[in-house]
Amino acid sequence: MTKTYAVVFIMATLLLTQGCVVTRGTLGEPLREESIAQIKKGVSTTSEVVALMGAPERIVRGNDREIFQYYYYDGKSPALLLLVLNLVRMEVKSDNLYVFFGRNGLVEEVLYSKRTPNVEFKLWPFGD
Amino acid sequence: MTFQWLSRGACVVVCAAIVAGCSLRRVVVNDVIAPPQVAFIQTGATTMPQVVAQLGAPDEILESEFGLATLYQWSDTKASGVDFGFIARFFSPYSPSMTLARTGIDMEQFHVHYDSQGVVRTFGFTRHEPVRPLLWFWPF
Repeated sequence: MTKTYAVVFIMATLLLTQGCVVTRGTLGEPLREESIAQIKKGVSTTSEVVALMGAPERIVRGNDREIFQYYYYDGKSPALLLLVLNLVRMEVKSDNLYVFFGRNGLVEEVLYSKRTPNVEFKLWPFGD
Repeated sequence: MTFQWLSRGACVVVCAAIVAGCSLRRVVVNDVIAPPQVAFIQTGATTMPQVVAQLGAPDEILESEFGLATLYQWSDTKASGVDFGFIARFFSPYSPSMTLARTGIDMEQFHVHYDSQGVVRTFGFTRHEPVRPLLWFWPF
């Protein structure tokens, strides 16, 4: 009897999920908040920041400053591929960290925002 | 009773026929920044940390002739298509592809330019296209 229920459950699951595609893609490594918290304005040096965060993804120069940029992208995409109708939606958000260094090589400013926790698996393509 | 079942079946067939061959795709990158969200920015007064506190860290920082420029980017790409080849599936083992599809890629940006002291010099949105409908497959 239990075997029959198991077979029915598996068959029902397969029928209900046929045509479903769930994809997730990331770019870069997640930015660890405990490491970012250790970066101190006026104290931390470039080598300390690199030791904490790794080498930056980009280096920008401007206003006599050197800016290290770190980023992480997270994307989630559910899809429903049926015989007659296809629905696909993808949401991508990014975390960005900028560390500004002055001429003395010390951190002047840290700009950081985390958006990736708000990425959701949304299938319905209409609306917001 | 039989009539009810027949009408329900007909309803399902009509609904399936309406959506048959349709394909809807949407790709959303980052959160949209709307004009009311940037109303707090004042040229000559607001600083970069104040902007970041409200809008988050930018997606890109560039150097301009007068100071730094920050870019916030987002997009809401909508694509839809109809494969009229689905009609052949009803009476043929081979269904040719006869698809009409259209994609609207809207990469939008909000720029904030700062002076050498890190105070906002100018800011603005890139050209904004009218919001496109999702069902928008006619390519001509």
